[in-house]
Amino acid sequence: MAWRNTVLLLLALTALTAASLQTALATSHQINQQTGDKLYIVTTLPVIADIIKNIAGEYAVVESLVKPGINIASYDITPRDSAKMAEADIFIYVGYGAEEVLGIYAESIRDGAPVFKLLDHIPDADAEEPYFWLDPMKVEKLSWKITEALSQVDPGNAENYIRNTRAFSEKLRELDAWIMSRVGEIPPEKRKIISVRDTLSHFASRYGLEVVGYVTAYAGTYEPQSKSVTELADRAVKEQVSIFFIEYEESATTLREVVETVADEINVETVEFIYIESLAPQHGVRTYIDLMRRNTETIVNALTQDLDKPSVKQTTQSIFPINLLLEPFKYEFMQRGLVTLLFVVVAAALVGSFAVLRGWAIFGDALAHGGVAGLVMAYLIRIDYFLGALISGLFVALAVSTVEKKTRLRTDVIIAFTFTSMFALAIVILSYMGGVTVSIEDILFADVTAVSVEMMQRTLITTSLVMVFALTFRKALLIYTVDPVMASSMGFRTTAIHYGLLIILAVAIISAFMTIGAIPAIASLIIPPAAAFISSRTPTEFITKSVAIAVASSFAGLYISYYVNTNVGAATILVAALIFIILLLARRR
Amino acid sequence: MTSSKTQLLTVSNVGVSYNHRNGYVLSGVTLQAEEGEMILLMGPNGGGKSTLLKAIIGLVKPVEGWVKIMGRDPTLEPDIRRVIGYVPQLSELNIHAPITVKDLVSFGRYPYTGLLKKLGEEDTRIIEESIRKVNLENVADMKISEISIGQLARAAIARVLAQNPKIYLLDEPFESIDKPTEQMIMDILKEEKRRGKLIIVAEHHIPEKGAFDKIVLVNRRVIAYGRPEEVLTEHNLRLAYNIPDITSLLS
Repeated sequence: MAWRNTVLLLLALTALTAASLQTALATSHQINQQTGDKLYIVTTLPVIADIIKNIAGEYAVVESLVKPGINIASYDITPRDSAKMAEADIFIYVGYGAEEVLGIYAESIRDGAPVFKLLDHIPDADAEEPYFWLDPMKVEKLSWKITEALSQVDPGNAENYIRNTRAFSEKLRELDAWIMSRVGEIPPEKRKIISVRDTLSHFASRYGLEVVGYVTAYAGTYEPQSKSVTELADRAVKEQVSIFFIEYEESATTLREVVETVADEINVETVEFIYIESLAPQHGVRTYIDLMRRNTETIVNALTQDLDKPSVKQTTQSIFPINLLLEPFKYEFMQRGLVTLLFVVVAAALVGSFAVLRGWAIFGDALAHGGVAGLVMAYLIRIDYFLGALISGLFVALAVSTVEKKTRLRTDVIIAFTFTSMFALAIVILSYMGGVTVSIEDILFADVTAVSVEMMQRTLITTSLVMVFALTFRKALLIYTVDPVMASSMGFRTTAIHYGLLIILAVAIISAFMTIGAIPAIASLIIPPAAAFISSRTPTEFITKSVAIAVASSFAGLYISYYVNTNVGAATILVAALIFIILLLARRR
Repeated sequence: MTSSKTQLLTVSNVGVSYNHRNGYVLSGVTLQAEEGEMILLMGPNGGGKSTLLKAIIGLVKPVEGWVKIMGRDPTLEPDIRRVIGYVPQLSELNIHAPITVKDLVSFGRYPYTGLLKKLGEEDTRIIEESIRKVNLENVADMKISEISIGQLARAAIARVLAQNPKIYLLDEPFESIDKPTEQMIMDILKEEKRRGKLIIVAEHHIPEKGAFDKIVLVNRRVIAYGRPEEVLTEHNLRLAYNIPDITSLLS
């Protein structure tokens, strides 16, 4: 009567769900009680919340969904936040990128209740250039619009809101005058700004600065691209900009690494931090006014310094078409990217060949996602990331292997279980980390051209060890992966070979994961060997081909990513997949 | 069978159980075998023939008793396994790997070269000779996934020939192959027996009457062990196979 138990279980689950819905309703009721008679205003970003507080004063409770110190890109909607969005008397949002998604979601669950989208009320800002609040005079104008909106929802306090806004307006004018005079200290030829994102355009146009470069517009919606990175370097050299500003919201993203790498390359200083969307109480940035003052101080101090002019360490002058081939490698970081990519994919292809023979291709998934969890945990407990990822990868390898031996579950089941739960673990840890901004997209697709010298050296050491091991013991690995029973029956120590292969698999995949990202790491382990497998006759041919396909696809991937402006890892995977398809079609004919 | 011959294999009161709740797959198995002997391991499917072969080579660890290969326990000293040429059932072979017949046969030389050294001239000669003995020269460079099942069976034999073991353990080598191939393999095995090798074949029928010195009748335990005429009695066969009509087995 197994089905009866199943039905009972399902009934129990349904009852539980109903119970938890009730709890959710109770929670929303609590929210109302907390605010009492006051107006309850929910908004998206901490900085916007502070602006609204200046208007609402003591007559409303203002809450921001994204907490200070958290990047909007790593914010996920929780059930509790949904309840807040639904219960607010008015919901206010800006209306750009990921933030707009929150706003649209809120509108959808609010059933026509008041929603106020700020970008609809500012003539010269839009979703492309949304950071209007870095110009206090735009905030001043908008404040009156917000006052109107609040007064409609809460007419009884209209007078109070107008009084507050009048005072706030005074403060904003003072702030504006102060910024104007501070920026005036910067010599005119130095009034040029390069930052990670295109965040400073409103500030710059108000105060007579020029934004000459950035890598991208928004946080979290961008994959670093080698072409735009080299363009940034070119721009800095051409415009003689000696300083790159780092946004606080980018403090832990791949994008920042990219910019740091470029800066180092062309002898440019990086300056922390320009605060945009987040307040950072731990850094003394508690209010919107604090944020504006801090940013102004940072920019003025940096731009009044006497610094060396940026310069390119190495340039390549040659004629077409060699120029076209060498152009991407004008900068050392591109050369480092290529070398790292090659070592990583060759090691992965080599080990991947044996993994494919053994039927372990999917193992890469478990290891890479174990690496993701390890990286995030390393972040949390502040140990070396590479070490954290490596330990976690090895742990997963041994755990899968042990569970496989102790239970009768099939390996694919155990691996699928492991990689999904490790990934979920990483997500949960990420959402609990305050003051840090790691984007899961940065982990899944990293940018190999952003590797630091130190990371490159480490990767070269680990991948070289993997290659030396795999080649030295290739006979053992071959006989074990082709036929473990035969290997064991001939007296070979298959347990040792088994764990040896697991360890080099873990080291190879974590090295790849740390430099090209989790998804390209998994792909580089599987796709080149798979392509080689379908077209090879002998083991030597198989392994040689799989390494050759890996090398060819990395070169092609790097050039494509440079000239078509896309992510290196993704381009490399696509080229390898294309080779696979071509070989498959050639075989079928 | 004179007493001057060396005893190669001792199986003493071996019991095997994969899962204690399910009881024993094999129990109380005791055998001795010496060089130049050819032994047939006979019994119904699921009677423990494959398990006994695996216990002999040490792939399965007995829960009771012990196995000694030339005085050494293969589960404790895996190195001794190299004197055994084990051919598992064809269905257990991984035929999808990108390896040629020659690659498969050369695996037989790995115990000699070790896992670090390359194959020498002598190894290459032995590999070629082994392929010639099973008459597979024309497919030597073909992938094992591209050859017929009979050719695969012969390739598996060539692999153990290249290994030049003292003991051959063959698990149902004649399953799903034709009569001429069966005869060819039997001839090779008889030749190896003349060279002083111990040969143990597990099958559920008798491949060639008179070729075997001894027969072991197994069904979860040893039903009978001895010369063919002593073992192949109607009584024993009824006990082993639990079926009324056993004449077809004798034909």
